[in-house]
Amino acid sequence: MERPLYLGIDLGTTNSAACVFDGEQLQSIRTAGGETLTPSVVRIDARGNVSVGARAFRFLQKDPDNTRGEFKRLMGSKNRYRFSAANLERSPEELGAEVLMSLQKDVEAQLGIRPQRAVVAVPALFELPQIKATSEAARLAGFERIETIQEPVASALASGWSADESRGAWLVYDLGGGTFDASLLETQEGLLRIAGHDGDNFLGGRDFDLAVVDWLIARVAESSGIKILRSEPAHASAIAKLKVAAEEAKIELSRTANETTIVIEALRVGDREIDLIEQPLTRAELETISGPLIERSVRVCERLLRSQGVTQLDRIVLVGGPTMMPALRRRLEQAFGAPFGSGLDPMLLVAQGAALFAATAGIDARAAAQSAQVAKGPRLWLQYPAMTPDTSPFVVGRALDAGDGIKAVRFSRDDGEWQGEWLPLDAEGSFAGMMALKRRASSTFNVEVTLAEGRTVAANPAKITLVHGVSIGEPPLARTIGVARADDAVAVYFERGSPLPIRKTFTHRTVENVSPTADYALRVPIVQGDFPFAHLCRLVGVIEIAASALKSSLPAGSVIELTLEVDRGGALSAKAFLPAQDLVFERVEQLLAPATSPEKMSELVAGLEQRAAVLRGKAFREGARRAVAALADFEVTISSVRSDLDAARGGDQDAAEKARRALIECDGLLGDVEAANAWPELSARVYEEHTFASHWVGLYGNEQEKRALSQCMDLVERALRSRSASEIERQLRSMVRIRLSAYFRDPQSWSRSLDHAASESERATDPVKAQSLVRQGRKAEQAGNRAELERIVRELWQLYPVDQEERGLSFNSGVR
Amino acid sequence: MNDEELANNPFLVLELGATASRAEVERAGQKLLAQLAIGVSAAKSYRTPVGVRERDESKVRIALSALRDPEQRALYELWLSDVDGDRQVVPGWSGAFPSIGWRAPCTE
Amino acid sequence: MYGIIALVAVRAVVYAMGKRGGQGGGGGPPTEYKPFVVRFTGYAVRAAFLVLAWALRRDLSIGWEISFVVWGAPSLVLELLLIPAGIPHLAYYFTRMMYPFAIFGEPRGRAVFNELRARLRWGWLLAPERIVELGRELVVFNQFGSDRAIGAATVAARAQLDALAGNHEHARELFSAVQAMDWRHASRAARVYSQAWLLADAAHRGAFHEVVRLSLRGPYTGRRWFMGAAARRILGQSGLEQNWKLVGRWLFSPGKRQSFGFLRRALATTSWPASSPIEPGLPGAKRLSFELMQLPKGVPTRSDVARLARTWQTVLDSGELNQSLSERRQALNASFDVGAVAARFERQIVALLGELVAVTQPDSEPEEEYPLLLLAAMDRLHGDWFGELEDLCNSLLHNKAHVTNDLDKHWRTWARVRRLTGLLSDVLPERAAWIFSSVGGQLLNHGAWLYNNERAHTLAHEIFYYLLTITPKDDMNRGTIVKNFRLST
Repeated sequence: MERPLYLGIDLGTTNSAACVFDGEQLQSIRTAGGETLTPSVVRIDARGNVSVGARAFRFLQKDPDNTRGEFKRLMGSKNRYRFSAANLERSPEELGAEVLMSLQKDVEAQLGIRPQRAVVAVPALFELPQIKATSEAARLAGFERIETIQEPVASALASGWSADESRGAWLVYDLGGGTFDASLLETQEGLLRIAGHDGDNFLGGRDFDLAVVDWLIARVAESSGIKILRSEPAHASAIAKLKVAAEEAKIELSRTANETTIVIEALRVGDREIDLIEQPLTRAELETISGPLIERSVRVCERLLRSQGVTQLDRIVLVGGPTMMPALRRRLEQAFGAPFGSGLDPMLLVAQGAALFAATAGIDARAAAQSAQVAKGPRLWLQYPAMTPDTSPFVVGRALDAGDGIKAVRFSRDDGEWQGEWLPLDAEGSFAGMMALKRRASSTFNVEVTLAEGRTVAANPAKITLVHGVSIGEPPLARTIGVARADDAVAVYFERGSPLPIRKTFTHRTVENVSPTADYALRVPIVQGDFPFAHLCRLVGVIEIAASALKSSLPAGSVIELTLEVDRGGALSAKAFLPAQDLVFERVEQLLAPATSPEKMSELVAGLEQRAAVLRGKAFREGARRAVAALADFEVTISSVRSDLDAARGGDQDAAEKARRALIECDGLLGDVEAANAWPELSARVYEEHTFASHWVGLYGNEQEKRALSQCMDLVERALRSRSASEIERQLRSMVRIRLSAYFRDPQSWSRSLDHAASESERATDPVKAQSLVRQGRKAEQAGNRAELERIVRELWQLYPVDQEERGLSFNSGVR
Repeated sequence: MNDEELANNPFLVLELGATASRAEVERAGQKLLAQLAIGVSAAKSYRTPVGVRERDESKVRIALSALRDPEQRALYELWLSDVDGDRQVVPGWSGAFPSIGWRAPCTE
Repeated sequence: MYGIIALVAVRAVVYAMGKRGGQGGGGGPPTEYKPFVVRFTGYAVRAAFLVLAWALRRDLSIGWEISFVVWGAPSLVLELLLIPAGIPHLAYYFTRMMYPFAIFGEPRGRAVFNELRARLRWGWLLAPERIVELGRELVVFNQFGSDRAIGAATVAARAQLDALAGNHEHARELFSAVQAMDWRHASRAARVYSQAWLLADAAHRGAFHEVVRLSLRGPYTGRRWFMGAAARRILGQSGLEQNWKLVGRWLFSPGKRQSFGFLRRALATTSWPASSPIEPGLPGAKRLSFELMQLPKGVPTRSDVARLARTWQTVLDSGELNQSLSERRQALNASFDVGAVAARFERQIVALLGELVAVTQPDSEPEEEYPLLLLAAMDRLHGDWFGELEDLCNSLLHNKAHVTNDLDKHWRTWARVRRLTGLLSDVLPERAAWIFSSVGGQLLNHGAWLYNNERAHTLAHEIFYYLLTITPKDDMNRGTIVKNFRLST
């Protein structure tokens, strides 16, 4: 029986890699050219021939129309790439499939087996459409089955594997081509757990390159007076050339040199041309240029450590090409004082981790046909972990053919050093036994059975292999997720910390009539946050039920069943079902979804900046340090968004996509700051209500109400101390109730209500009727007829759109 | 904290005591998942002080995840008690409906 | 025979007379608000027939004899003869015959009700097609005109159909609404039947505390008297009632043959396990919690729960919890916030106490002496139930744009409201006083709307009936409510 083979693939933005694991050792797959990395570049020439990797990379600059790279960022979006020479269009998934096929061929060339199954690593912040696109790419490449794993989980697994004794808190610092991920790992004797995760979706090696490009542009403008603009479409090719040169220079400075010269010949800028650019660049200058970006990453790490309450790290694991920069390493050492993991290749860690994960999940690269060996012996169905950190795991099994008359089963290690006891079968034919594994190695066990007549034969399967290594627990849900209700409450679906994957269904009722002819959509807002009031939570998606999609009129109070699901990767999907009309709605509109035109995004930028200005003022007044820091982060991101928008106007699709996602991120940042202000707001609101209530209860309340009110206040104080928002909300409702019951004892109260209603009569749904009611009310008031007055006021209230203000707060939710 | 939540205590689901080590937790979880995958009927139910309950794969996974997080584990440990014995279900009176003149087959 | 023709003719006259006074018609006790003369005439005529039947028993043919008896006491014939014998078709047509000129309305519903009762009595004539037909009958006349003529029996028939279909939840709602109806209008047969069904349903499920709760309200019947006492005995509440008292109650209840088993069970419960001494501190509090949940009786009393709350309060105040959490944090090598976890635990205790308290009734101990945890739990319950009630009543305000004639939905909503108010009054009587101040106005409006727009007079009347019971005497709305109440009969 050959060794098992587990294949892990890292489909990166700039480079891709593949690793295999055979149960004992990790092995990198090399290309035909002997490299461990395959650039994620695809070229299609005029005859339709496809070339992938290093060969295509050479043409990236020379033939940009037919050579494409960095398509990972656009996975799952509707963009298609145009290859003009061959006159073809390709989607990012198809390009990814080409890269995967190239890796497959390399595996075949190296090991003689064509892999059918693998594990592919995807960024942690990939959303569901992007993950689906990756699976689609693998399917197109001919894989029978793949699983995805988050990149930080993969790098964590690989770093834990190679460590000797692991215990403590580790930081996995993953700076890739396009994204930055920071994960905090808790390790304990081979059991890894991701305690927390943070990152910056828009910080990567590419941004370092762009920083150098901006610096270069300034230098070029100085020396030759020609201003190269990123927002100018005509300058696009010039910028591409600058980018390549910047990257080369950066890599050189990181590796060996202290100084290098950037040389570019014949640079066309619009209708002008620069003959030669010779710009020296020292390491120190590079450090200054990249300083702010490194700072950003360090701040993200600090934020992560703070959120988990970790003060001291035991190890830092570096992942990704850009982490080779000496300046970066120095800064990290200075900031955190922890040693780096040794013997780990930052470029290959993710692929290694993916291969190890394939081992823990038992995803052998060979197809199932491989195991159909002609074997004799009674058949057993065995379940065991292919890789486990436990040195004495259980193997559980059951006899498949009852007629075989098996009495007992025994496992023995094939190095002869351990033999298990005879395990008797129970009434169902099942058994369970503990094995003893060799530390940090793979152990193979022989399986024998005793038959009823007393013979001992080998079973089918005759041998099984278990590996002692590491395992990793799934990261849990980061924030509470729920649905916003029309009365500004939140119906919580998943609490923070729930294990993934998870799914729940609840029934709600609609709050208004929707007729199919109306030009309207019923909104079901999905929010995330720990507060009981919807307006304090952050909106993450909306299911819109367009009135035109309804079969018939949907009355208020109809049942609507909502199912929310979060998959293992943390991506949210939702579904609304209307049983009365048997309709299903599955599209969840994201917050800033299809508005990808740069003009619209500029508007959104303006709106966000306004919000930030308000918050900043407040934060400075109150001296809230955290808010100030978060707003500084916001500033940085927003400025990068602005420059991206410039580039987008110049035709850079990628920049547009990046800007769009950055806007979501900014909105989230501001939302966090607003949420942090929410606690004071909650308690202010409660105290305000208490003052009102005391006033009225003091005037008109009875003994019981007074007692109840003071009790309420005690409970509120306890709830504020323990930060239990739901408790505060409950007490708030109680206080309102008490206040109203006292208030309406006041003989003047109805008159006041009438006055208030009169002043708002324009807001009524039927202003004419409202006015006439007000007149009637005044007459009743003068006649001193309180009962009549009350009846009229209540009728008036019915004319006002109830909850309208509240509904506005809760993102115009249409359900309760 | 009603019956159901008490019965879903991860320690009860995984049939462990409060002093189980991390490795023991993982081992018990792995064994149960394997048994459930095979279909061993003994793995499909477990005893609690408020009765016998069913157990399936997602419940075991949720229990494992809860015990891996030390904060949740401490909270669940607080709810373990050494009271044994099942809750005795109070049997209903089966002759209730006939006594009022209702002899339909009771489908609930 | 002439006798039968005469029967029909006279019945028509009586019906017409009854119709003038109010809803439904003859066959039930006349309403308080019918003119006295009409009522008196009705009773007099019936009594006359019975007297004649007795006096002329030797002289009249059997046909006339039967007609006289039937004219004199039609409902007696039904209750004592047709339904116990389980003769469905006859029961149906007999009821229809009692109101020969009624095409829609309560008489129809009552006919369905009686037929179903007859069918269910022995359980052998439950033809599914006929059940469907009966259901359709109920629906058809719901859509026409007002429900002025719908009464208890119709709603009860609807509930029976629900229960037959297996939907006990809905049936429970409607039966509890019927049981609480104004006794002056709703036919006693329907109300008694609803109460009996509810008691049987609770006893069947073994929810004896619910039996006790149900036995505190509704029409006064022997069944309720007996079953309440027996359930209390099985649960061990209010001490050991003497055996002979229990047997005496049993003798007064109907259906003695079937309920003998229940009596025997109640008599057999002679002792309850004494509460064991609990050790102080955290383990003791936990043990007591589990014991209370494991009670063979099924449910604790309010003083049990108060005792548990006190035990937990002592544990929480003593700091033992924080200490053991710190120890565990050390052992687990973790870094969580002990205070936050302790707070969460406390909230879980409060939730547990809330679950336990929700099925108890207040006893002699005054609320002031309850420990803070128990008060917090009761507050929580109060908030939850009140919130639900307010949401429900708020939703009554919406959707008034058009008349739906969906009486089913209105009755069910009302039943839900009543369930919540019932829970509040039973479990948290001191706070139930706020029901009127928060939702009273909305209910009043809703009742008025039902009366004016939907023409659902019976339901409106029920709403005002209930409002009268909860309005404080000095409230200025009382006048309006009384006026509406009178108007809607």
